[in-house]
Amino acid sequence: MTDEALSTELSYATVVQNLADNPTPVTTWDVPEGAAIRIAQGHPAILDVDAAGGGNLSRATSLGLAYREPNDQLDAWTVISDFSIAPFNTLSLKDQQSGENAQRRRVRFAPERVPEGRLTLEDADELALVVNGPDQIDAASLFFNYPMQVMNR
Amino acid sequence: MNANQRPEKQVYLGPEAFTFSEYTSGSEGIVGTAKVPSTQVWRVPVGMPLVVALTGKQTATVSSGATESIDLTPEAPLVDFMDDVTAGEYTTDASLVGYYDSTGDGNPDTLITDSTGTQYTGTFGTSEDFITSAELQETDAGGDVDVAFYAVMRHGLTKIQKRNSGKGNVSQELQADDSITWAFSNPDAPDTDRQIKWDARNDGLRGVIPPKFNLDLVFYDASFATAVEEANAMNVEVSIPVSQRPVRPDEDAADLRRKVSQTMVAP
Repeated sequence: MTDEALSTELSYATVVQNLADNPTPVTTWDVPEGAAIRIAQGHPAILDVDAAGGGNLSRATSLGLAYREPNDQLDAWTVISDFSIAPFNTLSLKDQQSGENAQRRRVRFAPERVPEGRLTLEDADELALVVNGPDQIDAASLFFNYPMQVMNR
Repeated sequence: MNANQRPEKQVYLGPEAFTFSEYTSGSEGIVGTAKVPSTQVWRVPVGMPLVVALTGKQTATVSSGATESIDLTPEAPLVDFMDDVTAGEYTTDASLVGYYDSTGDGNPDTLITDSTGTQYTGTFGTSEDFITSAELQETDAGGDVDVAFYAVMRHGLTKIQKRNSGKGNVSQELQADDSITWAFSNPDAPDTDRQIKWDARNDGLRGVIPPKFNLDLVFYDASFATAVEEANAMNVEVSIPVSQRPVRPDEDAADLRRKVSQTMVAP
């Protein structure tokens, strides 16, 4: 079991543009064969994104983490956390990497969907970063990072 | 003194300790390798701060006699522990270093400053902690000039791994982070999260790197490549502390290698 970062830069991450006014995934992580990943709540997330055409996303935008199991319908993402864009808009990427301003960026999971605040995703499960807001994002500018643990199966 | 009693000492692996190699984007690849001397054993000093900033290259052309603003793709992070071009520090150690072709041989190899034939006007476009563009003025008016920029990588993932030598190459990852986290780390600020330290899981046998093993820097990005192997990429910043001690007379280097290899089941 090793500590790694769940990041948009991983080789098994796919970054796409969202649909405005629809909750849609912008990054999906397809758990690689032979591995399992575990994410736990309580860590600060690091996120940087521009709206398509430049500038910050509207403050009405919310983001979340969601998962999909192999036989779920294609659009059936189970959203497990929900956070606001605001603290990420006001802090630069560099400032977000400082421990001093982490409080507003800590991720909480919905207790009824993730009972112990820990979620393990097996091979063939998918995890996604979903966005719901009035703007489309610029997929090329998206950067997201959250601590995770990787286990071998 | 008997070699048996010689203590471990801290050594820092800088860019000169690494052999850098070419990288093509789209798959994971080794971009730098340091080899453990055949008479020494390395151990990872858990908790010591690490510095790794790899660089990528981008090229552009400035028209003869013109003043042009050149957009950087990818943008160059303003790195705490390196010189800052936007503050007039036009050195080879800056997080963004520009070279121009002063001789017309098609090879941009002369450092750009504020007084060279092709020079910085001092105007830089910035967006938060990134340099987005640099304005250059071509004063020789002898034709269009090729320029090359070496900027610290903001994209991709950078890992440190140990790897045994010879047949049956086995590797084990020791530390992994996004390139941007490496770039924005601050080795001088232990009270913030921005210091990247040798991970505590590298304690014990996992952190032992026997004689002739390799310590690799591994990079991955889907669309941008590093250019660490180029002679002008002098702003590659690497400082990896390891504890080094001689192989003891009662130790067999081959045995030690075998013992460590057997524990190296990834990750």
